Amino acid sequence: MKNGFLIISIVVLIITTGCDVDEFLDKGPLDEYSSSSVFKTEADMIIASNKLYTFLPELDHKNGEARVWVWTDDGWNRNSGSVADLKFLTSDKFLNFYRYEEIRECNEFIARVPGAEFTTPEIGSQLAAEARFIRAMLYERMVFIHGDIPLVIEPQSLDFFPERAGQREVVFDFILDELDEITGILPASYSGVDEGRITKWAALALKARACLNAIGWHSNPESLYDMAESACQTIISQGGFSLDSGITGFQRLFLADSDIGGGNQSNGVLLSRAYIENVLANKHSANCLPRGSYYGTGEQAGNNQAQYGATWNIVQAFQTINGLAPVNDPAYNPADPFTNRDPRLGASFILPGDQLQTRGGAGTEFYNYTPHPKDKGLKDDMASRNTGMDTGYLVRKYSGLSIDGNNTLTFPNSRQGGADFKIIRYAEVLLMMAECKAADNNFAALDYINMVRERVGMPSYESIANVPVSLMNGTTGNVLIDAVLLERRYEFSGEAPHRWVDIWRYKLGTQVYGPVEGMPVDNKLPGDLEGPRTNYANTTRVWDDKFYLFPLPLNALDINPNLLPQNPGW
Amino acid sequence: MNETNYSESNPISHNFSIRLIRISKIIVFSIMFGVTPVFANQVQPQRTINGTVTDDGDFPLMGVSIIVKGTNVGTITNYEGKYTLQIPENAELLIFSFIGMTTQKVILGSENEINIVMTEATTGLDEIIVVGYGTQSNQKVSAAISQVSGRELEIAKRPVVNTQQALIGAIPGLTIDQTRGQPGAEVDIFVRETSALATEGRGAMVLIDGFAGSFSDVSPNDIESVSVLKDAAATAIYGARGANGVVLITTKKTRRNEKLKLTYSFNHSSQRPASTPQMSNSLEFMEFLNEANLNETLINNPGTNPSTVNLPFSSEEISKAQSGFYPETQWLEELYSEDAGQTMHNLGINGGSMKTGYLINFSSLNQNGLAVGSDNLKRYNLRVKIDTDITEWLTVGTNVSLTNRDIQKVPINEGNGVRGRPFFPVQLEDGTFVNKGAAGIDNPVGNAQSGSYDITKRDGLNLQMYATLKPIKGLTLEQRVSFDRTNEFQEIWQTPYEIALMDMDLNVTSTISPVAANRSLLMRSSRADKLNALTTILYKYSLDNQHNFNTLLGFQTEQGESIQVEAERFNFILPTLQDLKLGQEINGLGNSSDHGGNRTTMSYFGRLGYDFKGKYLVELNLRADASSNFGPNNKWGYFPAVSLGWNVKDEAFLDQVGFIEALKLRASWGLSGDDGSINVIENALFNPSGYSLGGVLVPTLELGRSINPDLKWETSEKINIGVDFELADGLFGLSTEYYIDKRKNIITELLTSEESGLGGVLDNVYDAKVWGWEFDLTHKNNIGKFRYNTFFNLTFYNSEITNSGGVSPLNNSATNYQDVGLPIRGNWYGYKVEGLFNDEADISEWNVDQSAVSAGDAMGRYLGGFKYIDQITVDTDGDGIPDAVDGVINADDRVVLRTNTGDNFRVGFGLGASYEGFSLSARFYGVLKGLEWWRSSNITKIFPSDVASYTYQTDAWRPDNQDALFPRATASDVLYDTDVDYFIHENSYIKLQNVSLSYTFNKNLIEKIQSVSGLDIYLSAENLGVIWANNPAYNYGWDPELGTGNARYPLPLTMSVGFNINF
Repeated sequence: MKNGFLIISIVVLIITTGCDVDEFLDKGPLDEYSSSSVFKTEADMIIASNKLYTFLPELDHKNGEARVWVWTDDGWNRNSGSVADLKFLTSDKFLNFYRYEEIRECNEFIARVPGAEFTTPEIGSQLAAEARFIRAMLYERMVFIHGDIPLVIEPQSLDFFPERAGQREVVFDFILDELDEITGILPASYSGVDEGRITKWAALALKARACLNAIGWHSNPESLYDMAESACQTIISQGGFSLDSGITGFQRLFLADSDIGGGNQSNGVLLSRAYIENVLANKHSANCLPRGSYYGTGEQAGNNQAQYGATWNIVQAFQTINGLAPVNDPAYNPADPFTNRDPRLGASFILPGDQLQTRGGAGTEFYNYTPHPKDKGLKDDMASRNTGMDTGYLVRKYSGLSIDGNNTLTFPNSRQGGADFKIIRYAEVLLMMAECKAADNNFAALDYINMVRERVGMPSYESIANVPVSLMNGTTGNVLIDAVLLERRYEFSGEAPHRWVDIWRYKLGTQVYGPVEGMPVDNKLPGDLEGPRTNYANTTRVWDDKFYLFPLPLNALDINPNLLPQNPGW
Repeated sequence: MNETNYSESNPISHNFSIRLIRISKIIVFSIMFGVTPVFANQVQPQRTINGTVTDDGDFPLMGVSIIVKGTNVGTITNYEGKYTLQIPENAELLIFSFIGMTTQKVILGSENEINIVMTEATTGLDEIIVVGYGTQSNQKVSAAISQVSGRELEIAKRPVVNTQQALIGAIPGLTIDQTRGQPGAEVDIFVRETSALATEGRGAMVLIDGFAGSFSDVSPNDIESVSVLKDAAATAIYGARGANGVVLITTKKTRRNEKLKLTYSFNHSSQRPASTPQMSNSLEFMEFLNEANLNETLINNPGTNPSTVNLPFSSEEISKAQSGFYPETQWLEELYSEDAGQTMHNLGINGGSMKTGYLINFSSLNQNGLAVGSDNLKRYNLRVKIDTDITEWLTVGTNVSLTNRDIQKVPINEGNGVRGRPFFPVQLEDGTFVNKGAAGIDNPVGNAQSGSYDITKRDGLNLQMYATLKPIKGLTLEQRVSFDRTNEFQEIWQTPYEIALMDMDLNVTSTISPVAANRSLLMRSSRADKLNALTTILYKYSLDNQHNFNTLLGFQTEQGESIQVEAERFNFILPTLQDLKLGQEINGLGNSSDHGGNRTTMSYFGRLGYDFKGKYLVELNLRADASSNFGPNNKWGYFPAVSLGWNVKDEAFLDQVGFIEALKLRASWGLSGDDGSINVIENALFNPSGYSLGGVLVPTLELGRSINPDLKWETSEKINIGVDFELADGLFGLSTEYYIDKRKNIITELLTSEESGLGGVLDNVYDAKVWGWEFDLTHKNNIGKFRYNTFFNLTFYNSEITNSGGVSPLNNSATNYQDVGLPIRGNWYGYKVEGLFNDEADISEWNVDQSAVSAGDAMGRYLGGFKYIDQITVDTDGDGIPDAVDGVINADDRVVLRTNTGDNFRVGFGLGASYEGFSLSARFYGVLKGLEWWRSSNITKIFPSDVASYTYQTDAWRPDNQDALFPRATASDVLYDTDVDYFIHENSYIKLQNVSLSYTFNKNLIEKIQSVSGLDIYLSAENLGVIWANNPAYNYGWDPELGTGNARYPLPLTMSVGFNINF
């Protein structure tokens, strides 16, 4: 029995002295950083600022920039269903541009700058300026799409439920103030691993964009044109940018070759979002290419029938190489309609008759893309409702097809493209400049349009009389501005939301929509301007003026009643 | 001694001592008063009865008490189970009783040898109940605990591969949902209602022989009993982790003083799908899709001439379908067509000397899946237990469990991936797989068969050691240590295969060859360690045999750590060799390593039990818990509980009511906690290659989840009232519980405003009340040699959110709308509709603008579309209460459509009968008052991405089919908001879980075979499927337990034959 008590004593001893309680209970995760231990040094903050760059607009037809283009008179998306028909429902995620989670990350970053250590204070304020740019860019899109939205510029606690009434101007003015302020802080250029960061030129261009985007609702549009013009003027005179020359230069913009570090860097890009093949890839090509040419690694055969494409409306709107509307150019041949046109047509779209490599062909086997059902081509390519491309015309930009005439894919895995998305191009700056001049009825507008046209081999407009107005589809009432908008359709088709933005800010909605038409019914005359066109989408789009303000996301309204009422009509 | 001896009762010795004291008192009394004790001087004529008492597994039972009714004459069986007893000639009845066994009464006839087989008590006061850190006799339990033994679950005679499956329907208050029939699929167990929407991490705490473990690591054959602790009196001893209920699994015990005994069981089964959903055939589908395309155009562009609309299928194709040209492939049937066998072996060795007991149990399971391809589960379990008495006061022992579990899965497509078109064959004649007709996934059968796999090999090791000291009478000290290690190795190999594309003439248009770049291999290895130390001090004291005290003090620490590494490569040249070095690195980033959890907890706990003559029971429990997961402000939590019990039957006024065996009233109150969701560390996410600058990859760093430093565990205040009632001989038994569980500080993702950008933040947001009833009825009777028994249990619960901390609503999602006054879960939120537009008059009368929720023309209205009900949303008189409609259907018109839609009304019942050696049993379970909402895209999106339709989806509105399951079909994604009450359907069902027929060979016959002491053979069928259901989709082959719309891996119907043999 004595032994028993001895053992009890030992047990009690183990219990009481076995461990230090506080130390025993003080355990953190082994696989992640605690936020209190980082965001302290310059190195941390640089890495943290890198994250904010991922908030830049994406190249994607569902969440990114291409998604709005498919709702225009020029585009179509077979997969966004009723949304592409302009049958918008408030619950559509496609209408959600509300990006306050990213705003919060920017705000947190900006708030942490003063508490971190930098080798010089300038580095801190420059990093903060980059964050402020990204925040301003996010706000610019939100205020354009949703109207009144709350302005949140500091980190918030759990009980934050802001109001939004009358905030559109407040947010807009904040954007302009911020851009003015950071233009003075941001460098004009970077080198080495910093290349691709935000420059003062990007800030100026964003300011011009913001001003022109506000034309449709702002109380003083004249002041907006003036501010935009002055910003563009500074870029044009001091930025040292130039347009990539020739149609090859234009085509290269959508390949990784023209990227920073791509070997043949474009001098015509003010801001881009970086992608790297296979690593930080854009999956755009899978959405662009017909399945017949696809050979990716994703799934067995790939869920990648082409998702979106162009309508007859834009294809027929491209001028002939003589600067004329096809209908007015005797050289136009409806049986061979895609030659001798503005070369940006073929550079922007995959058109019937284009040579594509076959699935699994690895750049050695080719076939002709023949979407017309009467041509009995590959089943996967055939235009029809919901089974291939509805219109027959596909988007080529960023699809990864080479421009050497072979149309091979420039990367082996077509879902993992690496071309940077060129968010702001110099061509846009020139056309914004043209628009400001046009708003003043200043014919100097044509000079800037001509710069963009001539570099791809199109004839210049000697006077306003040379502009083929029949191609415009909708008018602002100012033919000079219409000419700018037409040029923007040629330059940015399939790539960016510019056409949508133009419809909104000049309120062209009721003028431009109609049936979603594809190739002519007559397959022997793919450029037939007279006969009927196919309408596999079975859709005629009807505009409703309530679309000029998209609804706030239902979720946001449900949680925060201070946002009520919903935008009108929704 | 065996391991439960530290517990409240060592029943045999306990009863002995009482009896000895009684006898000695009688003797003293007799001597003092000169009265001769009755048994001391028998003069009546005597005869001698002898025999053997065994349990129904043929183990001799030592210490069985045998008493002649109405006398003090009695004896006890020896270690061979034998007894000899002198009884008076006029004795009428012998009573055999043993702790944990049903008392048996034998009417004396002329025979002098009476052999008895005792069966385990299903209810009854003598049963030993496993409770937190110990055991109690049922008589002294005052908490809400349900226990079921492996024997009652008939595990030895059923082809069940895991314990959860056997437990479905067996215990009231347990919720076990099977979601897939894939071998190795994990199933969670929930006790009563959980407090939060997300049930993940809120399942019951599972302890195996006292330490946290996984159900999947225990062979069902190892299980002695499963004890479910439900109320606070039972769970408070588990403190911050007890609130969700505790399931205690006790494995089979060693035996003492018994010769070696060997048991072998074998079982072989064949499985096939219980049911698979029907898909439409070629003709049905073509006509349906054409109809839907036509509808789409007519709805969007009224007035279109139907003959000008392009339709997907031509009249030639349709006539081909009519002529039987197409193969009419039913893809689900093709995918789940494996002749799936299942084999189980179990070998048990058990025995012991006077001082040492041992047990070895080995089981193996090999279960093939229903899917084609190598889809299977292999499991080996070994458990070894040895315990020995080193001295009279010191016992040491070990309990070692080794588990090896290999799960091999093939890629299984669910959802749209399996909705192949009926026109295409699965394979060409040369074996090439054919594209099933949709983008994305080429061929579900090909995927399963082509050689891709996902193998998880898991080794589990649990080492338990313990020492029990009994230094003085009544005092037991025990130190236990448990070390648990789990190693897991996973290999995922994906290999493409050749696929042929066919046109509608069934000509191959092209063939796609596999590309090496598409072959990938991922290997992942992880290890998790847990070290547990548990010290308990138990002291029992009895004053005058009337006041019985029972105290427990304990201290426990737990440390856990885990690590994981993984690597992936691709571009393998050959499809046959899988080795990482043969592949190409993915961007140089294919390897990653990951330290997982690192967590410690520390706990003190104690129990004080008191009873007066076993009649009045009081018990107090207290636990203090600290955890590394808790924030600095809330480091320790305290969880008390108290329970009371009254054995009414022991009162004098019921003493003479012989037919009542037991009547007990119970009540308890207490607190327990739930710390499962706590995490108070704000993280920062680092990505080594998150962006690219200057043309090179750069790292990124961002804030991770938003956190709340004051977050603390949920507290559950539970009140439980129970009644146990039993008639003599188990003729009728009823156990009823009523409970109220008030949960405070329930952790949920607080809905922060979108504008704050914080996303979901875990917070102690709301309080709720859960209450419910549980009934457990048994009936048992013998008619001559025919014996039968039945059980029936019923569970019902409800809940209500009582406080939302000022947030309203707490959650606004369509399937889980949460607000004060509503139940915790199962509240559906959306639009009410008044049926469909059946004619043009309907449309013109329905003067409501539906265009925001419905895409039809004429303000969102079209034939066969929904008539949305305009809710009263406008306040015209300014009194703050809406009193008028606004004529527009928009988000304001959403209302709570239905509450309590969950499966909170469950039943389980069964029947058993035996005659001579035959026995037959059947078990059932079901859900009553269930509902299902067909709102997910699988259901309402009838034609996404070129899939085929399920037959039930073709029941769409047509002028001649106005009472349809779906509105008018349209080809694109639906043109209406799917959150409508039109899609709410009843979903109640009763399933036949098991039918078994067994035959136990007559002992006399068996004993002629050398050394065999028992043999039974059986036929058993498991998961026989639905016998009643009211979901309309059930008629189309959908299993109401698995849900409609997404064809999940079906549950297997298992037909089995097996035997058990004892040596």
